[in-house]
Amino acid sequence: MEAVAALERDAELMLRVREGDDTSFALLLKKHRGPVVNFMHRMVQNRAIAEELAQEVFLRVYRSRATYQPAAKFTTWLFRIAAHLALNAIRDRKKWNGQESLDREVTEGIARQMADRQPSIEQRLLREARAREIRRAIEALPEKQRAAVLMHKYEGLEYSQIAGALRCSESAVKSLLFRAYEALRLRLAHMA
Amino acid sequence: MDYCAGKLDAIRSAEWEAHFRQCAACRERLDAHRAVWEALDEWKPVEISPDFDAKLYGRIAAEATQPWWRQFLAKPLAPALAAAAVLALVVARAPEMRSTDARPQISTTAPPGERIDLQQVQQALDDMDMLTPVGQSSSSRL
Repeated sequence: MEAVAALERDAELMLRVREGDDTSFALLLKKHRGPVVNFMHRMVQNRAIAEELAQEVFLRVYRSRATYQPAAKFTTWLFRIAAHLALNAIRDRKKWNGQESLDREVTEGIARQMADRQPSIEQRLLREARAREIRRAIEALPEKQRAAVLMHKYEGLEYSQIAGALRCSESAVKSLLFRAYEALRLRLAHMA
Repeated sequence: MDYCAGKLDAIRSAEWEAHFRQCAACRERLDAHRAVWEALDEWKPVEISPDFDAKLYGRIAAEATQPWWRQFLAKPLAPALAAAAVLALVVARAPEMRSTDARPQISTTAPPGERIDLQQVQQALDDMDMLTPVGQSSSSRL
């Protein structure tokens, strides 16, 4: 019930943006900036590219404000734009070298997480290895499976929302997720 | 998947828990899925650059100061309208190309102005579809 009310607030805010209320756009940005950036980051695994793509998502939302219609949940529309841009970026891999960035970002990410503790070198190396393995497992998934898993696992989107974002049926989404989780299970089972 | 994600109501969760107590194969599958779920939980969100919003608003402002024709081309339907115009041109010239009086000229390059970038057309159609409200087909907007 609370989730439904929250989603309707998003549509209400976007309708205000349509009427020229930039404060409402700022509120939507504040709420959805994190999820969109993190979705992009987990898709392309390069922080700079992820932020650039996330900005492009919000730029397109703002650009389309005059014609916005609340035909579906705001987050469905938002992640449809995000998925589209992410899938295009992945197919256009010439623009960046994903693998080098992945290793450096894993190291930096673990360093940030462990900054306040006093981990042993062994602990840190172990965490870096696990993090690298998880990210590579996600990266190894076909793009649509990857997008579906990220939206399902990290953003908590419903099957219908993922279907709207990926422009496919709910049964296709379930199939994507089943295959994706099976592939991840095979690849990450030893980490249990 | 729904059970692991905690999306089932209390009754259905209880039904699955009862089944897992009796079915070793399903319990093993559940444990494996949980292991994946917990591994994925280790991937924490990244910190967002402090100037993210400033850069975004800078891009918005930069678009607003562009000439009207540039702003038009940035609109969702503009690429699709341009692509539709190109397709209409091709269709209009199709009878000339099918004329039996002249042997068709096979050329590896199209004349300037008639070159059709299929990838650009597809991209424009994708862009239009992407910004169409979910649940409404893009063709219904035209």
